[in-house]
Parts: sequence; C-alpha cells; structure tokens
Amino acid sequence: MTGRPRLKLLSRDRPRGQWHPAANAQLLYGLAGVLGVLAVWEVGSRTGLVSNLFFSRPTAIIVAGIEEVQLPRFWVDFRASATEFAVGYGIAVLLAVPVGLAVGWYRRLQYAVDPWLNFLNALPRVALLPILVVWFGLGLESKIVIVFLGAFFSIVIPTIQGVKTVDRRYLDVARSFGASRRRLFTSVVAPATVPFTTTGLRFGVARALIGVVVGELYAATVGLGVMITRAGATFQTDRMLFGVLIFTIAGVVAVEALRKVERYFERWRPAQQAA
Amino acid sequence: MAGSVCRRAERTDRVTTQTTALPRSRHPGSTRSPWMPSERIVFGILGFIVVLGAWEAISRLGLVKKVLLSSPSLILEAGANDIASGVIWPHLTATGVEFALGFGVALATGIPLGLAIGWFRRLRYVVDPWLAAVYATPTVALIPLVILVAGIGLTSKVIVVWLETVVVVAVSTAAGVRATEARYYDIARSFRASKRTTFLTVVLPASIPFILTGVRLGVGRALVGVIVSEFIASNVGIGFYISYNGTVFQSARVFFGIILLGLIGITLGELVRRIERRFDVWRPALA
Repeated sequence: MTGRPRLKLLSRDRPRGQWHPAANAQLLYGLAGVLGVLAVWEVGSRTGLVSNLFFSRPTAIIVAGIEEVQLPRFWVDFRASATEFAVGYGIAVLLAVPVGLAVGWYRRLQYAVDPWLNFLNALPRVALLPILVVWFGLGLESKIVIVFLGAFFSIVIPTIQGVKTVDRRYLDVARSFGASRRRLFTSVVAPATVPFTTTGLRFGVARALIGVVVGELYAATVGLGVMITRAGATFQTDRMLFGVLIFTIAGVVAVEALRKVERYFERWRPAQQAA
Repeated sequence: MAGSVCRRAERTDRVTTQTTALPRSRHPGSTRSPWMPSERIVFGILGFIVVLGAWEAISRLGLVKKVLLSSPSLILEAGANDIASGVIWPHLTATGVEFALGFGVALATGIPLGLAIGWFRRLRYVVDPWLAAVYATPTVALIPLVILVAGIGLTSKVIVVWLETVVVVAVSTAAGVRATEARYYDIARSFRASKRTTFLTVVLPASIPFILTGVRLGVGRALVGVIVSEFIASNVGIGFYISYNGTVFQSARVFFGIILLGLIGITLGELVRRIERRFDVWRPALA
C-alpha cells in the first residue's frame, strides 16, 4: 500500500525460502526492543548507572506488584478506581449518545449549544477539578463527574458529526419511499451514526482514564492514583510504577477492545468507502 | 426519450449538487432567506443568555450557596479585579513558559524521532511496542514520578509537557512518512534520486500535514499536562491559580481561571487549524 515496501521490493529481491524472515521480522524486532530496554534498565539499575531510587528496575516492579496484589488495601484502591471509571464512563455513554443525536438532528438546538460545546471541548476538562472538589467533596462523586466530563465531549462531538454527515443518497431513498421523519431518524440516521459514535467511545475511554488518574492524584482518599501518590511520597518507586503499569494495561485493553468494536461497525461508515 | 433522459440528468444534477447537511433540507427556502446566516448567531446568543441567566438567577435567589456556585457577574468582577491589579500576569507567564519550552522540546525531538521511525522499518518494529504502551498510558500518572525526579519547579512541568506531547507528534509524523504515495517514490527513483534526496524533497514535505495533526493533538495534551502538574505541585501558573482559589473557596476566581484556559485552548487550536488548512493541499487523499 505505502511506498516503502514497494521500494524495498524493487531495490532488493528477497529469496523466497521456506521461512521468510520478513514475515516474522516485526515480531522479532519488537521483542528485541522490549527485552532490550528492560535489560538495559535492569542492568543499569543494578550497576548504579540508572538511579534505583528514581527509576527502580523491572524485577523490583514485578516483586512490588506481587506484594501489592496480596494487600487488601490494593483491592480497595482498585475497586474505587474501577467504580469511578465504570460509573462515570457509563453515564457519559448513556447521556452523550442521545444528546449527540438530538443536537445533530435539531438544527436550532445545535446553534444554541454549539458555543458551549466548542468552549468546553477546547478547555482541558481537568481544569474543572478544583471546583468539582468544592462542589462534590473528596469522595467518589467528584471523580465520577470528572470522568464523565472527560468522556462525554469525546463521544458527543463525533456523534453530532455522524448525524450531520449522513449520506445524502440514503435520505433521498428513504424519502422516496415515503418514510416519516421518525422512520428516517430511527432507520437511516441513527444507524449511520454508529461508526462515528464508536470512534468517540474509543477516544472517550482514554479521556476517562485520564480523569480517574488526575482526579485521584489531585484530591482523593482512596484509589490507584492515591496509591501512586502515596508510593511517590515515600520514595517507593517500584510500587509507584506498578500503579502506572496498571493504568497502562487498562488503557491498552480498553482501547483495543473498542477498536475491535469500531472495526466491526466500520463497514457501516458511509462517505469514506464511496470516495 | 430524449426528454426523459434530459429530465433524469437534471434530477441527478439537482441531487448531487444539493449535498447540504440534513437539517437544512427541512427548510427548503432557507438558503435564500436573509435570515439564515443570522439564525445561527441568534440561537447561539440565546444559548449563552439562557445558561448565564439561569446561573445568575440561581445564584442571586440563593438556591445554591454563592460561595460554591459563584455567578457570571461575580466572575466578571473577579476577573476584572485580577487583571487590573496584575495578579493574573505572573501565572499566565509561568504557564506560557512551561508550555512553550515543553512543547518546543517535544517538537524538536518528536519530529526527528517520527521521521526516523517512519523511514527505518526495523527501528519502527523495535520501538512500536513502547510507543503503543506509552500512547495508551494516561501519561499524567507519571507526574508524581517526574516531580520526584525533577522537583516542583519549571523543569518538572517542561518534562510533563514533553512526555504528553512527544509520542503523539512522533506517531503522527511516522504515519506521515509511511503514507507518502508510492508513485512519488517511483518518480524519485526514475530520476535516480539518492535516498537522501528522496527523503528531503519527497518524504519530508509529504509528512507535513501529518506532523501538523500531531501538533494539534499535542496542544490539547500539553495543556492538560501543564495544568495537572501545576495542580499537583507548584506555586505559580494558571493551574495553581485555579487550584489555590479552589482551596480557599474563591469560586469566582476558579471560574475566571477556567475561562482563561478555555480561551487559550480555543486560540491555540484555531491557530494550528489555520496552519493545517494551509498545508491541506499536500495531504494525500486517503481512502
């Protein structure tokens, strides 16, 4: 598809053997990259080239992780973070999809909310955290709201976009068959919006995770962010990086899962295939 | 026969040219109406007035404590005060410097890194897993570590902004290099361009739209980084201004800070979008 591989084929004819190195090259190099960095980190830390205090080392992080998961407190933190994420993201999905559809469908409503949407979308929503803490306190509520705000705009904006870019031909066909406005909406516009919404869902997950982390780092009494802060304050870098690792894994899993969903609905996406 | 074909041609023509968005079609005369352009503005202003009016009313009627909710008039007053007394400027400058330095370093490192990753296939294989991991990590989780290593001063903010931005920029740049059209390579080869010339005159310019996309995404992330690190540990900056006024229940000032940030976000976003539009002609038509 892209230029590079074609150039390679032109410039160098690879022998076609039984075992083709190129097929596995990506995996091999990837593994080498991962293991290489981990090895340098580990050795550097053991020999004192990398500060053990600041950066810990891979084995120490694993050990700290094994110790952590046996502590009941860890699971309390984990549950708090998971709840904040699930509730905040869930409410965001439940609200953002209907709101996005409505705003996309009713032109005047869109005119009325557009300035607000643009402003709140350009604003780093985490900036609202101090006022949310004043309003909702240090508990789960303020975190749920910040997670909600993070995800909501990421979902609502593509959804509006989706309604606005419904393929003109579909609308014409539906009208030719005398579809009512209601039918037009439920059987043409809403399904055509799905691919856009799923993209929004994926962006929203990342935003929601940031909300959890920042909310807990800023002001909370329980949660993985608190665990990271606590470990940092006591110079337990290994525990701290274990906490970060959990967020990384959560991010990778959630984004990959939603990418799968997205790819499934991608087939519905109108304009792109037509162009 | 000829008549019907002609009519069909007319019909299709009408359908294809009328590719306006859905809602407009409900008001067939709307495109010609002199009211149309202003309707957007009218409803936009209406939206503003309704929200701000309700806010002001709720606050004045005392339905919610004024200390908590503040109100548009109080925010205006607080903002005017802090601008007049000059309190806000050191915060704005500090945030600006942190942002500019971190973002500058991120561009200076992210673009070459992305170009290298896009150009050298094996390098891409090696760093891909790491980039994917960092990309999926909420980088803000590393802020406590950065503060541990670099303290609470300017350095830690610059590092956070850099961390937030560099990966997006590098990933977009690499995508740009890889999306360079095959025929450009073929043409360059036909003219016996060296690898170096191909890179400098074909790949680099072709990547610019993608680099700019990375920059646009980076701006948003960098703002988050700067604000959060100021929330967590600092004594100056817009993030500190917001956070400090939150702890002393100066809600009006908190909102003023938030509004400033929103304006900064809008301005930066618009700026990048303008630059992007200039280079849009270079963007290959992706299927």
